[in-house]
Amino acid sequence: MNYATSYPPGEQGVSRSGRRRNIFPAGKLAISLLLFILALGVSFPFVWMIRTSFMLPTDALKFPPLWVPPTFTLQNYRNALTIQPFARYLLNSVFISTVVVFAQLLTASMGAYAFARLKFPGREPLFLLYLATMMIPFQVTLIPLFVMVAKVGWVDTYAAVIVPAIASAYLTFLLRQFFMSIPRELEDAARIDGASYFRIYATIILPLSKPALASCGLLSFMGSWTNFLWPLIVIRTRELRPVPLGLAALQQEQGYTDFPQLMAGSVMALLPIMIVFVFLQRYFVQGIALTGLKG
Amino acid sequence: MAPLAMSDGQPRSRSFFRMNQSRREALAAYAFLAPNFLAFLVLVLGPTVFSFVVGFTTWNGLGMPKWSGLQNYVRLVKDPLFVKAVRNTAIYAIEFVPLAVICALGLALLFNYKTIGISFARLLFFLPFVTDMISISFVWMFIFHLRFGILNYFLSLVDLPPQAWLGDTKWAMFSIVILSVWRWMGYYALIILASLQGVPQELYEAAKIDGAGRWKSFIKITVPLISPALFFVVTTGIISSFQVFEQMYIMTSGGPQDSTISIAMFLYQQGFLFLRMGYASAVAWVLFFIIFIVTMINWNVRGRWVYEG
Repeated sequence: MNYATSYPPGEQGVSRSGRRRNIFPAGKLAISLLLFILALGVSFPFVWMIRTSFMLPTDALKFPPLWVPPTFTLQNYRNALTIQPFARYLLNSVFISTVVVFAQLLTASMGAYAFARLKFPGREPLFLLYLATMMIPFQVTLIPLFVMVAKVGWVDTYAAVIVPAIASAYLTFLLRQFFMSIPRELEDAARIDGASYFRIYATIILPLSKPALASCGLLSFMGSWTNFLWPLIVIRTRELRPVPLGLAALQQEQGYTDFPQLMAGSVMALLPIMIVFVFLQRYFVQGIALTGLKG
Repeated sequence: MAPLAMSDGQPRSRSFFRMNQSRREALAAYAFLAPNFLAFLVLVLGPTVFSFVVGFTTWNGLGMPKWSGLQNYVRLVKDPLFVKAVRNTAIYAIEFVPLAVICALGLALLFNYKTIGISFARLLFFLPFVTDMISISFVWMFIFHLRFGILNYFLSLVDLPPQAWLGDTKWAMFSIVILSVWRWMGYYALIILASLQGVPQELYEAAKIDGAGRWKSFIKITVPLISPALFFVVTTGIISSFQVFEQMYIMTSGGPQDSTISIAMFLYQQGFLFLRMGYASAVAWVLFFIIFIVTMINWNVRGRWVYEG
């Protein structure tokens, strides 16, 4: 399905909506109020996290809780950054996620182009095979992948986190669906002018797919940034940990749970991905349309 | 066939020129597919086959795997901890999926109204979905805390006794479900909303003329027309439920009394703490089998409730 026609929160659906026009101001107000209260509830964990991260442990662990912190402190952030090399964790995550995103987009878009646009013997069965593996949970390949990584001697390297993430049948599938929706005429003209397949891929298909590529890139960035189980298995040295692993270590290596400090760590872990989200939310939403509407 | 000049005016070998169009296209396709297929072969397909074979062996990850036939699977069925893990995971799925879908449907219906700040509200509800599990698991651990948790404070306001949410076999799994519903409902809501906005308004007008009330037109028009989106949400919800891991790993370590140990967590323990690679591979295949069966059932009852216009 072409996502351009089904972009969810776009305003294009508004004018033809008869139901919305019929709402009385009072009903509208009630709905706004209800949404506002629900929104407060949903964002509460974030508010609570940020509040606690700036509080002295003695204040944070008072019961009944103090709504307004009596003293404002950066101590938890300082602790988190010194007890664990948290800045290093952030750099690791940025590096790993960036490489994974570009590697995935490159291989997925090239494969998707072949599946969507080129005829070759074995195309249909191969594509079905890709689809079939999408149903297999990641846990199935976990042990063989670990054994392979160990055999190559990659345990405890960036390569161990990055390389196994490159294969993505899922992104290949999504991009293929998108490429199929690009009109063929554009290509035919270029073909008559003698453009090679690579030229068509690089100068026609890719530029036309920027929004889809951005959406897929974000999906892949998120997946990589939040991945926990795999790094947990292949990373041992603290200097190589990505953020989620480092955050878990912040608790486990301490021996006790220091909530304000953990909240400071959580804020630092969430901030980059939140910033990415707020700036690129349009593509997140498009990504949902891309993934959600194939059924 | 006229030999077309290929890209960039580069000289090509004669045999390449002679190649017919479809051969050339196929070769180009294989070249494009090569990196992708190589990664797929080495990182997905190969490991999948390997895992299936290892499931029939006894292996600590070093040395040579010893063939043991169906022994791992037989042992699994008799392993009380595994049975418990399957039960826990099923409970998680049974609580999570309906709750998340109902909340998401409600939200989507609200999102469909044009009111002040609606796009900001949508953004806010979507925010939990872009978090990493570890951070928010810590946040919710603090909220659920027996002594300092804000949840118990809210309970005390209405004179309810405090609960040891994550430390009580009665509540631990449900607490994890709450966290998961919070994280996923905004995402599911946007998927349902996309479908909701595709429902033609004329249908509602027509229903109104026929004297149908709001509830009736919701059941008779809205639900059938958005059922493909609901189906998608239910399916992905089930699949993700059966793989649940991080929440338990951080918040409860599977406790109390193994009441929150999930299949994925059992697999992690067997494979990477006890180095029973054969046994853990068998677990992975049982997990796949369960997901497969549930998805098939879901797919087959699809015809009964999913409207495909």
